Formats: sequence, C-alpha cells, structure tokens
Amino acid sequence: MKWATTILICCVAVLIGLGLVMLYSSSMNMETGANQGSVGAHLLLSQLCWCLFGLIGCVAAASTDYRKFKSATPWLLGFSVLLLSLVWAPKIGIMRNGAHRWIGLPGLPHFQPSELARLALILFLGSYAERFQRQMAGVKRGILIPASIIAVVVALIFFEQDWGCAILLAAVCGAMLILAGARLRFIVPPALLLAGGLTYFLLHNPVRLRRILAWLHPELSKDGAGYQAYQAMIALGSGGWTGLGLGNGRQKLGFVPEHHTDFIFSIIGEELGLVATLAVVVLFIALVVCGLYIARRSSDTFGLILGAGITSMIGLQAFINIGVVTSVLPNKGMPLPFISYGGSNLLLMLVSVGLLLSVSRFAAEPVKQRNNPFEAMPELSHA
Amino acid sequence: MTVATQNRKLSWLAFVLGLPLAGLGYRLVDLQVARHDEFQALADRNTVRTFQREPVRGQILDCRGILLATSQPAKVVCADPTLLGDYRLDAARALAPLLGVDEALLADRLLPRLIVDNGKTNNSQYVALKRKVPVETWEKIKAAMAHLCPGIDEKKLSKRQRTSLSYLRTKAIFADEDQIRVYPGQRLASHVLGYVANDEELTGLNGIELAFNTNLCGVRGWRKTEMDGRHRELVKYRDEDVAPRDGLNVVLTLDAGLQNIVESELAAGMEKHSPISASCIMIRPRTGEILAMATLPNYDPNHPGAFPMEALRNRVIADIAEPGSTFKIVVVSGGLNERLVTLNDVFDCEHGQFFYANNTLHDHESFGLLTVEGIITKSSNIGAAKIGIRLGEEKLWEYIHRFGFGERTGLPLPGEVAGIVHPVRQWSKLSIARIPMGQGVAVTPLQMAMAMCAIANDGVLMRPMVVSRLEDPSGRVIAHYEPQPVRCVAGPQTISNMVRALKTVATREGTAVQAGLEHYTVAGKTGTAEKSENGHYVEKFFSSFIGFFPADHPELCISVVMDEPRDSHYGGLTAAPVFHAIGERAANYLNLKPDIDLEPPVNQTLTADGGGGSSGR
Repeated sequence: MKWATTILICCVAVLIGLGLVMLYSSSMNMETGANQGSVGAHLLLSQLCWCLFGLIGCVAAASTDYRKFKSATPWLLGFSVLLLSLVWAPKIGIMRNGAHRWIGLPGLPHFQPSELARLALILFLGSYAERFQRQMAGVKRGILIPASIIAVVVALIFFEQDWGCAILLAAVCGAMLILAGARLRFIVPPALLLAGGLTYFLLHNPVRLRRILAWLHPELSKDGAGYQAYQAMIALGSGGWTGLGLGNGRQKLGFVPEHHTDFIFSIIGEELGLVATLAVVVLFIALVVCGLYIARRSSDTFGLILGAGITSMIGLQAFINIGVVTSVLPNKGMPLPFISYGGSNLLLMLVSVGLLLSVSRFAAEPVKQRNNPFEAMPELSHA
Repeated sequence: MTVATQNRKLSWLAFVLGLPLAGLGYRLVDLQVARHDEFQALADRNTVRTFQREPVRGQILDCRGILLATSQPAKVVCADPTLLGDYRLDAARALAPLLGVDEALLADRLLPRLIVDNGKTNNSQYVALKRKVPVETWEKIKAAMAHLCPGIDEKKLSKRQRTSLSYLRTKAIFADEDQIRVYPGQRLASHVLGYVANDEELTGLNGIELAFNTNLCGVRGWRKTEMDGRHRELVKYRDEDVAPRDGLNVVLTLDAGLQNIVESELAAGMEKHSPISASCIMIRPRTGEILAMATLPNYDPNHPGAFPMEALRNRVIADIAEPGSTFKIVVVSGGLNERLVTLNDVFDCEHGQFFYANNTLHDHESFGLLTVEGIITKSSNIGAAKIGIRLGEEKLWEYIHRFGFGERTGLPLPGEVAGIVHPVRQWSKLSIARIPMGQGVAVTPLQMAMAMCAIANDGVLMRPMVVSRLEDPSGRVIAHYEPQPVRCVAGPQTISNMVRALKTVATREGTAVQAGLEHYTVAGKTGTAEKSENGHYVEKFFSSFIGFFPADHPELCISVVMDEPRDSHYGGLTAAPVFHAIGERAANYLNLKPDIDLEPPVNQTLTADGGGGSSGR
C-alpha cells in the first residue's frame, strides 16, 4: 500500500513540476499584454497560486476521512448543478469563444463549475453505489436513477459547449456503474444511444464537423481547421529523441495555438524530446495503476468506486489530451492533468488526488503473505 | 459482488486505461523518431528563412575623388493582394500618384491572383508594384496607407473587420530593399561611365559599368535565420550571417574638371559648326592616361532609355573613319626613321595634280616644291604620297602597325573596334599613294590620338588607360594600374624631327593657326577626310585636329574630331579652334608651366583668362 501512495505522490509531483517548468518555457516568449511585464512570469505566478490552493486542498482531503463526505455528496452534487446552471445567468456567467463555461463573482477568479461538478458526480456515484450496492444489478437502481442523474449533469456540461468534458464524464460514470455492479446489458444500450445522439450533434455542428474532417485528413486542412493539430505534430516530430533543449522550442512562437494550455504536451515533445513525452506517458500509466491498486485495497465500496472513478478520470483525460496532440483523436480542448495551465482543473485534480490518498490511508492493509509485492499482481488479475 | 469479480473488473479498467496510453507511447515513437526528419523539415519551413544580402554597388570616381556614379538605397514597393480585399480601389487611388503609374493599371495589378506552388493553388501574396522607389517616396506611401479610408468608423466594426483594416493599413503594402544608381554629374563623361540595367543587381550595360561590372557589383551575402509566427526575426537562432562584400570603387584617370572643360568647349564647337557629332580625347602622353573623353551628342546615364541609340555610342572607340591628313605623321615618321628622307628633303608637289596609277591625286591648294617639313606644315597630299612611295609598301604597312593601327588599343571599355588596315597583298596599285594621306584605312579617333601621343612620348606608344585603380569601400587600394608601354615606334632623332615639323602646323605658315596657344608651343596635325558613301567620295568631311603641348615636354595631347561640320570642313578651321579653347582652359586648370616667355609683366600673365588667349596670334 505504501509503495502505491509513494509512487502516486511522486508521479503527481513530477508532473506538476514538469508542468510549471514547461508553462514558463512555453509562455516566456508570449506577447506582453496590457500589463507590461513577462507573460510567462505572470502565468507561472498564477499557476503557482492555484497549485498552492490545490496542495492545501489535497492535504485537507487526504487528512480527512473520505467516508465523512458520503452523506454530503447529494448536497455537493446539487450545489454544483446549481453552479452549472449559473453559467447561463446574466452578469455571473461568462462567455468566452462562444462557450458558457465560466462563472465569475466579483473579487474571485473565474471558475469553471464543470470541474466541481465532475468531482461531485464521482463522489455522489461512489456513495450511491455503496448505498444501493445490492440493487445495482436491477433496472431501477442499477441504471434508471443513476443514469438520469448522470444525464442531467452531463447534459448541463454538454450544453455549455464543453463536449469533451461531457464525453469524458459520461465514460467515467459508465465505468463506475459497471464497477458498482450495474449490468452491461443495461449500460450498453444507453451508451449506444448516447453515441448516436453525439454523432447527430456532430453532423449538425459545422465547427466540430470540420474538426473531425480535419482529423481524418490532416494534410488537406493544415491551414484551416487542422492547423493546430498539424503544427502540434510538427512540434512533436521535430523534437526527436532528446528535443531541441528547454526553451528552444520554435513552434510555441506563434505556430501552435494554445501552446501553454491544452497543447503544452507538444512543446514538451519539441523541447525535451521523446524521452520526456514517454516519461509523461509512463507517469500517467503508473498513476493509473497505483490509483486502481489503491481503489482495490479500499476498505469499502465507496472508496473503491471513488478511487476507480478518480483514477479513470485522470487517466482518460490524459489519454484524450495526448491523443489530441498526437492527432490520434480529433481536436478537443482538454487540459493535460497537472501540466496544462488552468487553475480550476489543477485544483480539481489535486483535490481528487487528495481523496485518493485518503482512500489509501483508510484502506485495509493487505494480508502480508510474501514480501515481494510484484507477486501480488497475478493474484489480482486471475482471481 | 465478490472480490474476484471486482478484481477482474478493476483489471479490465486498468487494461482499458493503460493500453491506450501505451498505444500513445507507440504513436510518440512513430512521430518523434521514425518521422523525425519529415517533421524537422516542416518545422524548418515554419521558421527558417534565408535572405540575400545585396551588396552596394561600388562607386565610380574621377582621379581627384569626385563622385561620378554612386548607389543609393531605394525600395521595391510590393503588395499583398489578399490583404487588400475590398479596399483595392482605394489603395490604387492613394498609391497611383505616388508611384507615378496609371490608377486603373495599378488596380489591376492589385487583383488577387492564383499561383500554383508545389501542385497546390494559392493566392499570390506578393506583387512587385514598382522598383527603384526612393526612400522618401516610400515614406509617403507608408503614410498614405496608414490613413487609408478615413471615413470608416472603427468602433462599428467587428473585431475581425478591425483586424483586417489594420492589416490593410500596415501590411498590405510593404517594401523590399533595392538600390538605385545615381550619376550626379548627369551627362558628364556619360560615354566612359556607361549605364546600368534597371534590375535588382544594377547590372552594368555599357562603359565602365559594364567593363568593371564584376568589380563594381560586389559579392552577395546571406543570412540564414529564423522567424516567429509573426515574421519577426529570432536573432538568437541566426545561423549564418555572411555580410555582403560591397563592390569596389573604380577610380578613373578621368579628371571631372577637365572633362567638364572638354564637354563645354566641345558643345560650343558643336553649336558653331553643327556637325553630326563631335568628340574629344585628352591624354597625358607620358602615361597614356585618358584625362577626358567626350562624345557629343551624349546622354544622361540616369535615364539612358530616353536617348536615341546613336547618342549612347562611344564614337571615340566604336566608330571608324578614314583619318585624313593626321595619318601623314605615320608615313613621315616612317620615312625619317628609315633614313629615306630628312626634314629638308625637297619633294615636288606637282602644283596640286599628281597622276599616279591611272588616277589623279589632289592637294587642297597648289604647292610647288616643299620640304618634308613643309609637307607636314601645309598638309600636302601629294608630298605624303611621294614619301610613301619612297618608303615602300612593306615598310609603310610596318609603320602603320607600329603606331597601333589595325588592332585594338586595349582600352578597358566595351565596344572598341580595331579599325581596318588591309594587308599589303590586298593593296591596289594606288594604295601606296593614298594610304600615306589617310585614305584607304579606317581608324578610331582613339587610335589616331594614341599614335600622336607616341610622338609626344619620345616614340613610345602607350596603352591608353582609363582606370587608375580599384579601391575597396574604405579606400584601400585593391589594384593599381600602371602605365603600359606597347612598343617603340621610332627612334629619338625621328621623334625630335617630327616634333619640329608638327610645331609648324600651328603657326601662320601651317594649316591650324587657330590651334596655337598663348603660352605654350603646340605640335599637332590637322585632318580633313572626305567621307565616302558606297565607294564614292561625297562632299562630306571628317575634320580633326590632334595636337600636344608644350611641344618639347608634352603634358597634354588633345584630339578633336568633328563629323560633317556644316559651315567649313577644314580641320584647321573647325577642330583647331576647339583644340585651342580646350587647351587654354586645361592648361590653366592644370597649372602647366608655360614654355613661351612673353615679354608682358609676369603678374599680367598670371591673371590672364584662359579663354581669352586668342590675343597670342
């Protein structure tokens, strides 16, 4: 158990450290805005502040018994649904690039309620699955009620034009339901329905349709919709084995848009090379393995579902981000966990990790049969 | 739910999450290692730019460092039609007067055009509107573009429209570096300088500009650097930066002051006698340096296209004609040098009519008995013919060649011709009588002048020099051209006799009394050649005077040639006065030491005006 938490913490620490370094590297050449000063330093400071908040949240969550949140999860979910609907409210809701994703209260930094909603939904599903774990195989408790709750939250996120987050959340929730004991034959049809609906929306949304086409034919659309993805591939490809060296990236100089947020991975690849990109991938795989190990060792179902949910959210988000940057997936704005610039996401991720640590703290110590931890793994897979 | 199922499900989840991530790892290896070269090239295409760094074309200077040709920075005004969009006509209206082009034509050029690049069709983003635009005009163009369409209320525009308007005003019209060739002296020495093509490199097309083009144009440098997405240079990544080597300066032997004297006096002579053309060469006999070389009509090398082709030709080296009587110096020198005649030998000049080889030779006046010196003084054709007959065909031919006729002088200017001197076997019976008087051969004015210089230079024929040295832009001498003797044409005794004879020409007895100078003894020879058309002589003349002074220590040799003077055709009446005017002023300009001691007080001599020297006769 101890090695899992250690590796988890190390992975997160390395990723955050790399993220901060790369944030400064990628943004140090950016245009100075109205506030005369280095944009890089400004962004780094802001990210450091969020990181500090995130670490406080992480430590707080880790030091609290996660089981205490169980009763509060419905209220938290209700609150976050309220916040989600507030993005449409005049004056409070903020629209950027045609998407209603942010709320801004006077004196507070802009906040993306979907981040909170994700965690709230995962927490809620965890407690729900524990409470109704014997009825999860049924239709009503197993699929109808949780699916409708999930649908409300996902739909709210979907309609604020954060499709990636909605799809990610739906997938995570599906995995959690399956893990909680819901039958596959109840999960698959709504999933297919959802996929069909998504396809319908895609075909009727010119912006996204263009992105899909751009993904299918990157060469043809490299000056249009596929520009960002194409330039990101160029950045990665030109990095080679060891990269151009920290700070020497060229593609961040006005070629890859969003190079310090969603596409920071391409700059890592360009400046530090395959060594770093593979390391990041390996770190995320390690993180997923450790997270799922912790979930498996949790003392109760809530911990299991929660840990699995958080882990799959982090892993899936990392996969989607890196997939987009490497043009494996169509372009979809999604930050790379722990690395991309973006306060609310970092905060959410750190609090989630805190919860995961809390799960591990209160996990049942495994019966020590052998000293070699690696021999425990086969037992896990074919048991 | 059993622990076993949960474990299985969790393992599946780990598999489902981990496998795609591992797949991404494979994708990364593919992108970053397997396709590294491909993407490296694409990344380079994003940022790496190579610029030519054009050298500045060298200057052309006269021997005192006066600028005759120089290069000034200019701009090529270009447009990006894709940024002009709907404002094309407004831009054309604003730019047409500044560029001095037709508005409709300009608007047409600003139309977006499709270009095919690598099989892909793109909108052309580069149209060169005008080259050689002075920097001041470019500043005006920039200002005009910045205030284009003042009526538009920017607050009402969308963000996109505002951006395109600002692109229109700042980026749609841009400029590349260019240079413009300037000849500050305008027509001064235009035939020596030549002119350049109106292209990017200012390629020399004529004169020194052509002959020394490789030295003048310098060596192009380049800069390999990188640019960010907004086309700003990333100086940190400046890989290769080779400065251009500016062209060398060509320092001529020409003296702008003398050139000006020559051209102005030649123009005055032109006005008086209205010939088709007139040329003059001023040479320093001891070295062969050409101090001035002018041909009228001339042209302004700043706008060579505005002048007819005839005006562009350097007649001094490119035109050949029968030299006429000036050529008699060859036969007389030959006769003296071979000791076949002496200055005091007497020839019967047959009173102007000499029957020879079924032909009658004429003199312009009837002469009886003339000494050899008298033949020069009076310019008797019959006397020269008789000397020629005495010299013999082979020897005559040899001396013609010794004096440099029939071959190029080697002046480093393009377009020089060798002239026509037939070999002896092609001569007719009459040739031996006609060639001594300057008929039946064709020479350039420069060849004739150089032959006279050989006599002025103790018999040593020099190669004419027009370039004194090449300097780099900081003034260091790269190449120095030394005077080059070609050959000795005659012995010292011959030469001193020749000078003695030639001195008599510019006296009351001689044919060119008007050539005489107040303070210097002039040795020279007139020439009046009848021009032939289709093998028959017509009543058109080619008049010349070539002389040098001070006769015993020659400093200047001046040749004046007029093609078809209208009022009078004798060289002594048309070319000689011009020689006189040029000689007086040139001697004054150069402060030459007089060799004629005049009785009047010294101070009067010092204050005497060079132009008014005709009182000497």
